[in-house]
Amino acid sequence: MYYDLVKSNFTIIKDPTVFEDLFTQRSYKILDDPAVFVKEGSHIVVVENEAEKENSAGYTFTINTTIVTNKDGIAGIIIYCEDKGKSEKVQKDPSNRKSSLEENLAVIGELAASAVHEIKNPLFSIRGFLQIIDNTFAEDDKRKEYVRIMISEIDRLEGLVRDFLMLARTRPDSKEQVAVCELIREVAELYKSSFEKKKVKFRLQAQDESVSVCGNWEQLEQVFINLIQNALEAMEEGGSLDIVVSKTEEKVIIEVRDNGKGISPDAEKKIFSPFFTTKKNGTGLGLFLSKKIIEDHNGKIYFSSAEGKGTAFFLEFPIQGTPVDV
Amino acid sequence: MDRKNKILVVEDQVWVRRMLLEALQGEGYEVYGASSGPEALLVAEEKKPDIAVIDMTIPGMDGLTLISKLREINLNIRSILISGNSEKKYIERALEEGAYAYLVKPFDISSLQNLIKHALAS
Repeated sequence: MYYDLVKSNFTIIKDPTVFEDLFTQRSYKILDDPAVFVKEGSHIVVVENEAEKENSAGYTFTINTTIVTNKDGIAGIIIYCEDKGKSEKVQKDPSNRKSSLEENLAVIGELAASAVHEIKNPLFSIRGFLQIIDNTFAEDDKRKEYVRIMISEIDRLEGLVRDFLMLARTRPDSKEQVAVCELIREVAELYKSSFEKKKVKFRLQAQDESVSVCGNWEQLEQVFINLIQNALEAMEEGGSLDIVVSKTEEKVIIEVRDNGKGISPDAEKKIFSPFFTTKKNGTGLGLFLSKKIIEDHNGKIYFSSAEGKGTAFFLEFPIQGTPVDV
Repeated sequence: MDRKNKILVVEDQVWVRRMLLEALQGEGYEVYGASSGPEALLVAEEKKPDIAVIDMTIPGMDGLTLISKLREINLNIRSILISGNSEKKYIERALEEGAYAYLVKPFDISSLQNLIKHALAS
């Protein structure tokens, strides 16, 4: 991630060797010679977080400096700081470890939560006006096709925004006992017409109908929406989708099995990575988000797949909030 | 001749309001817009709409309060809430408090048009 020290996230305060991260309000002191800022090129500097002075070996930043000139001479200096995270010594101490991915996600999350409603409204008005335009063209008009592409792209953007909002909320703030079968049935109800359209047989089997896990309803619902949607898209007409809920003394296991096209060995390694998708209209955040939600519930998710035969996803959740051994 | 059904759209986002008004006008309804709760009440007093399409977060009062105040003006008015918030608890509460339906933004315009047809027929 790049930060523009001069213009955006960071601000230099008083002392030119100290700057502050506007997101986290943390201030950093540059331990190297601050003159690196005006030397064009890329330089690695070690900075110290003011608040963590005593146990910190410092953060490493790569500073990229570009000097902008015009006919009168130097017009300005653009400085980008690439956060390399804490230096080795600190990262090895597990009590002090916080991955930079996690920190980045927290920042993205905060931003997403506040921006999401602001983004939804313009998307909504654009989509609506496009629909109004769509109605004015004849069925064979090329422009009708363009409008429909635009609408489907708006839907994709909307999906991205929605997934980002979910990411922002993945830390379950309100946990309750969630009745797994009830939740799955509710999600399946949303897909009822899609199942019928594609002649997909949906079955839910449960050893114990009343089984519940401790968690957040909306987030777990999102996980099943993602899994069912993926399964549905992977299947031809007439496929079958089975969800089996079972329980041991320590955990609840949910299997979501389809007989669709399966996952290619190449894709298998990447399916939980952000922005990886094999769909034309996918956001590439669905499974990434699902995994994050499940891990935030102290659970785990894994899968087995055979190309051309189908895929089964397995979810495990601890009973009574005890972590599942990973 | 039958009078045209009247629809009030309460939405503070100017282009969203305009879009909804145009989409509904295109369906042959008589449409009125308002950008806040108090403005919506003034319009409702004067025009007596059959249906109100209300954004959940409007200036002046929240969508739920507006629903109950609109009912004081016309007991038979049907209110359709629209909101970017898709949380289940939120939606359930809205329906309990007397909303006829709840649509999560962004929705397909035809969903709103169909809902309104249903609401007017019932």
